[in-house]
Amino acid sequence: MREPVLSVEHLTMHYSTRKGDVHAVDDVSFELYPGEVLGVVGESGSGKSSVAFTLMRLLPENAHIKGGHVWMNGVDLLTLPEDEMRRYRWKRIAMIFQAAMNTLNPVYKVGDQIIEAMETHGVAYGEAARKRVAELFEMVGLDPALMDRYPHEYSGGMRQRAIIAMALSCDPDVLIADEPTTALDVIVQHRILKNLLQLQKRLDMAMIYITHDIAVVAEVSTRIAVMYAGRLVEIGSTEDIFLRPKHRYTEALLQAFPSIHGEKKTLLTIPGELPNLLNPPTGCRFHPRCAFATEICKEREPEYRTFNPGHLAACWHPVGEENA
Amino acid sequence: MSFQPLVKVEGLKKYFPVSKGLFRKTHDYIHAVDDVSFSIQPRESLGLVGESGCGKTTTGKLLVRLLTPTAGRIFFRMEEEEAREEGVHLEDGYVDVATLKGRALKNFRRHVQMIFQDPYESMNPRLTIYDIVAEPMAVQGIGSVLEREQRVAEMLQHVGLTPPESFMFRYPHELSGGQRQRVAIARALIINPTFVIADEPTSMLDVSVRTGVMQLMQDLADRFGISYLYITHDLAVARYMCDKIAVMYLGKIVEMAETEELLHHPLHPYTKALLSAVPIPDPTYKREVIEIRGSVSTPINPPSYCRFYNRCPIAKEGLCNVQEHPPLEDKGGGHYVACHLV
Amino acid sequence: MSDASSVTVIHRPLWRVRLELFWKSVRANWALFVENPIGVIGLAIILFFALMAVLHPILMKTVWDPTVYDPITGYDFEILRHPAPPSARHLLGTDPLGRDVLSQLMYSTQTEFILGVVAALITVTIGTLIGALSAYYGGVIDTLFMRLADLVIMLPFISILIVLSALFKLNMLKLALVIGILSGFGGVTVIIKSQALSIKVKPYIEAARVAGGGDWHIIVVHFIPNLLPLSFLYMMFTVTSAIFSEAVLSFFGLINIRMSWGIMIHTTQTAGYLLNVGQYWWLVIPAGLAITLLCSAFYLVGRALDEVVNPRLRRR
Repeated sequence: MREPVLSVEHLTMHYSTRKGDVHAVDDVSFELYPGEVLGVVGESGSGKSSVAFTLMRLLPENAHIKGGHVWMNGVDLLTLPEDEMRRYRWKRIAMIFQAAMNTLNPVYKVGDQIIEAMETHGVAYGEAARKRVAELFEMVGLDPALMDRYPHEYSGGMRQRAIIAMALSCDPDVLIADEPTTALDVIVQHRILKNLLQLQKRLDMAMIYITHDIAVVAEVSTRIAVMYAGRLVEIGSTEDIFLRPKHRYTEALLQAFPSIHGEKKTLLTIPGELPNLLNPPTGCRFHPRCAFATEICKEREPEYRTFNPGHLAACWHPVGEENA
Repeated sequence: MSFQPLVKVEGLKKYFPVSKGLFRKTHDYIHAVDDVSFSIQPRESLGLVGESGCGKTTTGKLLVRLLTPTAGRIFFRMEEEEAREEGVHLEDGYVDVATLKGRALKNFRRHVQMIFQDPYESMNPRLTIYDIVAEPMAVQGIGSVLEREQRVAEMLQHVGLTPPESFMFRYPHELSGGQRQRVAIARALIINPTFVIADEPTSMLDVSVRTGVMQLMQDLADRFGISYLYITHDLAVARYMCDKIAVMYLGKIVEMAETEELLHHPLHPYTKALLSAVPIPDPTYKREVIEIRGSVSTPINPPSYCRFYNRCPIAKEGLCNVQEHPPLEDKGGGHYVACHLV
Repeated sequence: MSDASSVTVIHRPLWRVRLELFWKSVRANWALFVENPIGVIGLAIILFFALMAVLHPILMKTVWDPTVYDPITGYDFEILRHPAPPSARHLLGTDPLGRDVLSQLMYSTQTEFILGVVAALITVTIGTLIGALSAYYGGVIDTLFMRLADLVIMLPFISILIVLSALFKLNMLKLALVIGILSGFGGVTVIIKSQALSIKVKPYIEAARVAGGGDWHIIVVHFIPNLLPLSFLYMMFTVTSAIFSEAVLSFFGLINIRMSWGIMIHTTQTAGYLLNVGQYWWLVIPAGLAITLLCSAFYLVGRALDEVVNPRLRRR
């Protein structure tokens, strides 16, 4: 068995707001193995971005980690003091933020911003840093001459590539990509994804790819984790999830997703609304919207069951066991 | 084919001047919509797809007269009686929307409405749901206050927001994205338009909520006999909502055909590349992606030859960069393509 | 288009519903407002002064003898030397003309409030309308009003007031009008216009157009309600400015009114006691303090309102 490069155990994080506690992440556990892409799929409020921010320890003031561990090389990232975490951040674990195109500082040249990141982490300085930036730009498909231009001179797709270059600049072991291609058109999206995967293989990084787009996650990931309302409801290999989904939410999600390929199927409508995390439903959080819910679903949180090696789901009435 | 289309767009153009400061005369124009023509039958749904900057949203805004066309005609079918009431001049049973002004334009708005993309920003946060849904009636001076309340309640029920009393006097921020979009639909349909332009109505909604809204739009179209112009960048969604799809590129329509025909037998190289780039939610399917170089630019003073030339994988030098931009032609069975090489 | 099943009976008339909603929003805003100690302090001070204004006529009718305590014509014969220091009879002493200082202070509160509120209302009405119109129409109208605003902001406010009061005999109401109009075309317009511009580009404005809404409908139904909170906020600041301006003008004796806090200090100055503040503190401190406190109070309330109006300033 390979050793995981990142091991998340029972992670729980809440935001405290004037209206109460938002249960953003509840008891989430998963492992990330070297060289793989773990897709994290979920809708708004699923907690997928919150998990990413917790792993990076980039949480706002009103966020409180209520429990759990994040093991990386024998160290629990959640227990590190801030100055030590700073050494891990970007150097061991890096992140590409959602709508990252707007996270470049408009008054500095793009190349300089990446050089600054590298210098701060002691990865490279001066001329060596410039050379590395040129290398990174080539890797992400940008003309190295663009190093000395400003963000407003880049298009959306170019800025996204620059952000990827920045995330890779310190050679992290783990890369978290949070919806890196949402605002981009299909053709550019495809190019960037292809590029990202090539880089991931070349640099032998483990990647967590967060998205709501099931089609993208099918193409990009080797394993998929499905999140709903702050909980991890199912995790397994990409094939397992798509061809043998077990959790009713996963099944519903797959059936609600249109595709241009193949026969035109009837789309399933999932009734109800996404739950309010201030006061989440009792028991299984999907029960108010689930066609197969029974009393037990309302009362008790389902436990994880293993259906295949590596394929787990937390559901009282999984697919294929209608009468369970 | 003796069908009389509900909407006929002919040679529609919208050019935006590139501003060069206060006093300098500008010679540069963005050809946002350049000579676009299509028609929509009653009860038919046409999808307008393309990447950002292709002109689809601008086309939608032109049809609803949020913008005034630079050139071209927008024909809308109308009955003699209605035309007389509203004070418009008919040509062969059609009114040219492009030239309407003043009272005639305001009256015309009863026939065409729009559903916007952003469920958060398309509603005034200070108005109640009732005010928002009733606004078209209020502005057009239709019905008494009591009648408006009844009608709003009726519409809210049609869009699945029941019981209507519990929604009518809430504020937008109290509703979820999906609920807000349903309100937007109620509002668009409240004065019985026959033509609705939907500008990416589901792109900002969560997946589990999207299908419900899409289904609703189709049900209501069937029930009330509405035609849609469905603007989207998502081809998979267009497949489910539209009878016909038109693909736009840099202000022009490059291909137009019935949905399944377009998806399974695309003819234009751009359409082929676009379709091949769409990710498929099936891990066992390995698709062949047609790579095209470059990226979409802003069509400022475009050349007169084919606009796709510098990115086209099958372009023929000496032909495609010399001849005029290819016209949209029927290649059989209502499948239109604008390409020299097809 | 009517389903038999969809006939709903509306139980409550629309106007009542709107009233209830309005009341609910007032309560919600109040809850937000009181979270901020600054606002509460400011409000308390304002209420304190309001109390004084209300109390004065009551005192005059009951406890105080008008011949002695009338703020303008009173004179206390029983005391030999005026101005007299504070005593049991005169809690804040008397002024050089023998009038009770406390009575003057309380009496003036009324006029100060009226001045402040009238000026503020005028400013806000003008500022909101002009700001909305400038933003909506743009072009020549916008340029015109913005250049006018620049002019008003540039020119020294007090100097203009001084000149105007020399040319026209200004009483309280005319002063309120002048301050209101002058401020109305100044800074407030620019701020409101900037907010209106951000509203102009919102999709709901397009939605209103598509529904058939004309210029008037959009300005009245969409712009103004979204601008009012900001206007209300700036109203507070205008009150401050109005009260203070009046004090200055009265001090120079340029206003044609009988009694105000500024007049109190003016009286002190013309009688020659101003430079002797140490000995005759009751001639200056109460009036000065009143001006400072009331102005500050409105400012504090304005600051606290800012957090209600501008959600981004709120602490989580």
